[in-house]
Amino acid sequence: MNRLSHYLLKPLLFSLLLICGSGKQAFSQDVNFKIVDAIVQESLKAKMESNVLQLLEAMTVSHDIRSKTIRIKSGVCTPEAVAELSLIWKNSNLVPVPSNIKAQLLKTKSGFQVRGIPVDIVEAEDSEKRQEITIDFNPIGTISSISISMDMHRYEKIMAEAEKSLPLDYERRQIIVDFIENFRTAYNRKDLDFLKAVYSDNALIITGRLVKEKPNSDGMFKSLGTSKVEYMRQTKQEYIKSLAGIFKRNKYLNIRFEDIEVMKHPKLHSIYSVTLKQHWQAGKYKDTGWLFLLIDFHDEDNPLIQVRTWQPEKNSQGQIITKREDVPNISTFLIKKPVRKPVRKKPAK
Amino acid sequence: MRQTLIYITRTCLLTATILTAPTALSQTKLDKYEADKIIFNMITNTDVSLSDAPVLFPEICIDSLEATNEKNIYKVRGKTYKFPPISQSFYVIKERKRYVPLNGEKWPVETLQNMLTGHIPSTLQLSLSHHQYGGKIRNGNIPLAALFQIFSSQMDFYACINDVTKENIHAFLIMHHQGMDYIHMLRIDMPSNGFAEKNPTAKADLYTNIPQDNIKRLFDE
Repeated sequence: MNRLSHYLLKPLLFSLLLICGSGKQAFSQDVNFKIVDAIVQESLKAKMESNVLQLLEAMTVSHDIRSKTIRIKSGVCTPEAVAELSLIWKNSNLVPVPSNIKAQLLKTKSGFQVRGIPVDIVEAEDSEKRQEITIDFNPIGTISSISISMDMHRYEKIMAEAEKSLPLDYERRQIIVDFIENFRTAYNRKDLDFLKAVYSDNALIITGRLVKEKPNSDGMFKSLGTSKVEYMRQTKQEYIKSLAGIFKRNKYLNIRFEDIEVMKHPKLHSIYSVTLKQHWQAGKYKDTGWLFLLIDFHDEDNPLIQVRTWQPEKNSQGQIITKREDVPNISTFLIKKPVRKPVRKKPAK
Repeated sequence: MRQTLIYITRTCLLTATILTAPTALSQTKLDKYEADKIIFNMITNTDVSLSDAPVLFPEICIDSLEATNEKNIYKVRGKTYKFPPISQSFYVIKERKRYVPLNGEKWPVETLQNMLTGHIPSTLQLSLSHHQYGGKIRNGNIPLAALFQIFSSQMDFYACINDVTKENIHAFLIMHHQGMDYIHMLRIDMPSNGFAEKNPTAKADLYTNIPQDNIKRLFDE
């Protein structure tokens, strides 16, 4: 009996060793795992690397021999981690993907963690087959937990809701409103430095004002019923200079904005327009008018006003002379796509 | 500094009303420049321990449970701000007939939403850039709990998870003062494995005192 079993078992054992051996050889050639940027002792790092490799090897071998359980060498994982993996294994084998893994070691509440180790979930549908696992270690480098990394599927519903009903640039538009509040505050504070910074050097600034004189011959005056509105085009320097005079002459300025409307350029995604009703009070002088701003938000922290127009809402008799629809809008101006300097790559040393 | 300390020792109700209201600036003689500055001093000088951090809306209304893509995890529908994804909704897991707000590294998206809406203690540290009047950016490290400590008695908190990738979660928090209709907005970017860290940290940008009462239309359509 002993002799018989010896002859029967020997080839079987040999072939099993051959399978395991060939698996190990294939595994060691195809999967490499290194921890990078670790601030732990070299011996601890080496232990964690070795444990991960042994775990991945156990997965490969167990899958190759079609084992229904996964056998991991003692000391590689804690009993809890083995239980976790066994639970996963009940549903599907995990097969490490041939790769050269360089993982960052994270410090966690209970030890350390590496993420992003690619595996194939054998039983999963093709589209979901490739996943990543996260491995936790206890402070002495033993694997304490194995889990499949964040499943993006779980968040599809959340993302779908956001995409469906929340405009993509919601936050940016609130930042625009924040900018407009800064802009308003700058006039009230007579903060010429801020205003100089937010107007583009080439800004188009058109200001209208009510005049009593007859229109002159240069076409600068536009007739609107019984009142006249003079429209002036100014450069940034001229506008800032005239503003400095206003700031100097008036001890008290109070500017209020209402009916703010924000629009995005249909093609140039960093260009927005803001139309609003401005109530201006400088000393005893008061007026209300429509302000239109065309703003480049390419650099969110440093927006630049490219166009500013102002038109009075009412004439001196209190008649409305500029309606909301008469105010320029984002389509009024032909905007050339801004030419941005390409970022130069540093030459290789 | 002395002025800041005086403000901090006042009640939340008073500080939030006085210091954060652009529309009330004429009454308080504060403008955005001053109000932004004081807020930064408050949030960077408030000493918050976890036990101090208020946890909002602790009750779970079973009627508002909504199934998610995962078994035993539900979304509890909460109040929304202008758009459905900006909400006080939060996530719970059913454990032995009890519904417990999710909290932990295994559910980073749900945990962040729960934290931002105040349903679990805010353990998050923020590496904060405060965008103040005049394009000035001041940086500081603050606990998220400080915002709850200072603003939650006067303002409603609404969170939105706006983007999730395997590496990163982007969210924003709207703190809305209903009476005076203005907001503070906090934008948050954190690694999706952030809650596995001993001290979870996120990068955040804070914009304060944004009036909403003078907006006619924020979107084209």
